[in-house]
Amino acid sequence: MGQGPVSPCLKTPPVVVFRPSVRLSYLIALFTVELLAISIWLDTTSLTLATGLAKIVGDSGADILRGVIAAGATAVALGYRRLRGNTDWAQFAPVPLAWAYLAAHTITITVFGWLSSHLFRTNVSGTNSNALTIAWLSAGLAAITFGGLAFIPFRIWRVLAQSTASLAPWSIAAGVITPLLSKFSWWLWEPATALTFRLVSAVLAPLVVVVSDPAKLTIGSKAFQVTIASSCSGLEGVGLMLVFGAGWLLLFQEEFHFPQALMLIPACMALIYLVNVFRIAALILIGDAGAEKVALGGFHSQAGWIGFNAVALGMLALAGRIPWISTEPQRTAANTKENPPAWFVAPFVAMLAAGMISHAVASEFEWAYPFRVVAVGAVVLWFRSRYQSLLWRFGWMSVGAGVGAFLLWILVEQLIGGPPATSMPTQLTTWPGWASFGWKFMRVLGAVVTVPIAEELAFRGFLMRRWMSEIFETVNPTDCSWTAILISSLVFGAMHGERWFAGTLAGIIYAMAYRKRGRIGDAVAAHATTNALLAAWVLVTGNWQYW
Amino acid sequence: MKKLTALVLFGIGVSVSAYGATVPEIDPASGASALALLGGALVMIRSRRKQ
Repeated sequence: MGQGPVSPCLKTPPVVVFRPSVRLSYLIALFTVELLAISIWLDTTSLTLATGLAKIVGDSGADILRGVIAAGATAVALGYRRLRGNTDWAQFAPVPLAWAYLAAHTITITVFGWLSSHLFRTNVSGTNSNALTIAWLSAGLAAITFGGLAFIPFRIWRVLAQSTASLAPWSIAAGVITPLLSKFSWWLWEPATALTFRLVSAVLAPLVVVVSDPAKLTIGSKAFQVTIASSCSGLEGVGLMLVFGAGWLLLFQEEFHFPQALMLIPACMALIYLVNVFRIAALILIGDAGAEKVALGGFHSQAGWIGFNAVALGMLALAGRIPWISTEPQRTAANTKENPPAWFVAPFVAMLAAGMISHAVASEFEWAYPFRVVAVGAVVLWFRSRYQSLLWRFGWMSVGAGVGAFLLWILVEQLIGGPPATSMPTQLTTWPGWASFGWKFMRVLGAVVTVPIAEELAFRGFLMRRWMSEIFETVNPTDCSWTAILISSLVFGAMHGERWFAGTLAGIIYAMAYRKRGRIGDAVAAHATTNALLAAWVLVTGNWQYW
Repeated sequence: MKKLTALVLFGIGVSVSAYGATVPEIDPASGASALALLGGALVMIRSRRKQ
């Protein structure tokens, strides 16, 4: 491998300019988190009995929100293409975050939440309803405005607006069309479910004696039947594939020949629909074979995503190899060069892929966990020569940081709660002693060795430095900004589900250990220490919810 | 025309997928891992092409 690309040291500091795309990313991330929280918390159907303006919010709020999101997404996607390379951003000096506006945003979003609790949780009507709704909308708009100004100054918003004014009709069109199509798509669910029912029946017919009730859409074998609900019809995957395919072709249209590239979309939609048919058929066959818990547990949960990822990634990989569709030069031995992002991300991708498979074959207890360890180990072994130039040494300070992260993890769990307490999985207690020991050994090995390596390479080695520069491998970790630390840690925290806060704090600690001396070994050692202590905590105290 | 086509397709996709309120087909509980896997794999594919 070329030793240069993965060298963590670069003496020349990167040129610092204002990057609106980065700031816009912060803003989108902030608004997305807030929108998700509000969407989970509030339900506009609770306004069904309201009157006045509140009733309008109840009847049309979701459609309006959907339209605004579609318009915003369109503006960002088209605007990004328009502005990329067309504007000299070097003319703008770096601008710090406007903390005063951020504070104003925090206050107004808090007021918005407080007003929401009154509007959505109480039966308001008449004049009170109108006043409350106006105050609620005003607080929401103020929060959006302050949030926007916190990350991007007004003068740059003006430049962005002037540069992309001609795109406004497209955004407005997307904002209007999307809610209308939402209403229109209702009629698709019933026929799609009926077609799925017939196709599943056809797939099963050669394999089992099919027992079905077309009126109730129940189908299966004598031993195991399922009801195909409308949300199992396959349309959801079709819709997601449409979003993914259209978005991809829009963002990277210069890499494809049109109109033939558009054929990829219906092809993938048809494929994902058929994948769902085979998913249901496989689920029935697994249940028929006696593994009902696996069918309705892990397989039911994971198979849809496995199919979606396989079709989406397969489409891109295949399209890139077809000159009729792709404008990209075909790969040959002569033009194939190093791919540093893959070295850093591949172990993490392998860990996730193996995790999805091991969950898919499990009911509740992930008995195939060792597969994850083997998968990461194999990828690390494959790329081992690429990692030799990384700094794997570590100091005792990083071990101390790992202890601190462990204590913080437990403390956060105690203070704000976490998943409910669980004991050792019942299935594991029934295994022979050697098998139980072997599983626990592999579980600890994964927690202490393969997980820290895979996650630190991906989140600190790649993502944190990628935030600083596209040529991330030339970024010295000691030059990484607090923003890079925070963003990579937030993403790391998000991967920990309910424990996102503790995960984010731990991520910050590992990132600081990495930044201190620029050694990936320090981050891995800190992470491994935390996981080792958590493993000991689980095995000693029997609190298996920490795994 | 390409923009219009893509926008219409995007809109239809959002509209259709937005109504999967209960999603046994695409389980939201597994969403973070699945999307991280998709994102990581896309990083690898994109970076290879940009060489």
